Amino acid sequence: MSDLEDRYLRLVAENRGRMRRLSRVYAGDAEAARDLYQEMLLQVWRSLPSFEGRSEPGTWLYRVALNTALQRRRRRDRRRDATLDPDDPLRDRAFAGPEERLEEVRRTERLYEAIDRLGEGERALALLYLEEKSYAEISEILGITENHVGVKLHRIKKKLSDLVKEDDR
Amino acid sequence: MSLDEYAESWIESGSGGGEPAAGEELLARVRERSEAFERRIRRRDLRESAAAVFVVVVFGYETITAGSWLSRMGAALVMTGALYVMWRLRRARPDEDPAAAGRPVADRLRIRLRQVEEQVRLHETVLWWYLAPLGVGSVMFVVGLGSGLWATLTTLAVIAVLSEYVRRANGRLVRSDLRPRRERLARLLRELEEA
Repeated sequence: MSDLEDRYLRLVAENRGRMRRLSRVYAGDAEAARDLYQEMLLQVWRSLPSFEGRSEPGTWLYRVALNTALQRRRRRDRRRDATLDPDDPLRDRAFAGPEERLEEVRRTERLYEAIDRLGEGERALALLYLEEKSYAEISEILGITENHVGVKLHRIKKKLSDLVKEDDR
Repeated sequence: MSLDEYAESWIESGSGGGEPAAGEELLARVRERSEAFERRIRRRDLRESAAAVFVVVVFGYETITAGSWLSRMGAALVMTGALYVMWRLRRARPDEDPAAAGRPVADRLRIRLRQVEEQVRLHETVLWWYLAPLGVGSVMFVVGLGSGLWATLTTLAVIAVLSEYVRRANGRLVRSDLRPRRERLARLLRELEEA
């Protein structure tokens, strides 16, 4: 296996969860999410030889994945039974058993639904926050200043929190 | 329940679940898709080059050998017009450089917005840079051949119908696809940039 192939597999393995969550948020339904995930894998493969290591590999990969997601137009109808899809990020946990796990899955579903109601750009910031990226990393991924990230994130967190609470009621 | 508590569940989602393919299998699939993509691009470039060669050979020949100066000028106009059309279409094509996917999101959006704006301009002015040189050149060519009034009128009618069809099709594309895309990109960029 070549060095490039090895790097690719490692990167994908380390960031699989992130890419799947991103696909789920930016695709309209489970099938579209699967296609988008495949598209991300392809884009990462095509772009990897040009990656010069100026940023963290995870940061770079997130840029590729997010750019790929934003390039596609979203399907209008969101399928509600997304967790029945074998590639859905929540699926395995939805069938994992105990009540607490189910509650956790419902909670994450509510979060996905709240994110779904944000604007596309806001969604990107919300995702980066949820992925526990620092302001510096968010700024590097999105290409906006750290100050700007702080201001926007404050507003989006408040909005997201209100949306989640609204869904809770 | 606070947002942070929700956020705790977030990272967990997507960490489980089966990977449709991994290791060698994933590499094989991704390589196959990448090669198919490259093949598509190569085929498209080849088709365009073949069309350019065809236009140069056929109309270049007529530019030199046609019986009248009007036909020769018409052939030259069609040839240069067709080459100009190809050049403009190629220039307006979305960026296919794989490295572009790794740029910061706002930069990438700005570039794509400029490209879509250029495409809107192209489609809205298709009459002037696409249809007019080819249409006028064809009419000059036919008239210069001295084929008579009916042949000239038929050529004019065919060109007029075709031009109107192309103009309307372009207008539809702008309304149904390009403008919504431009607005979406502009909105996205605004959402990211406005404080």
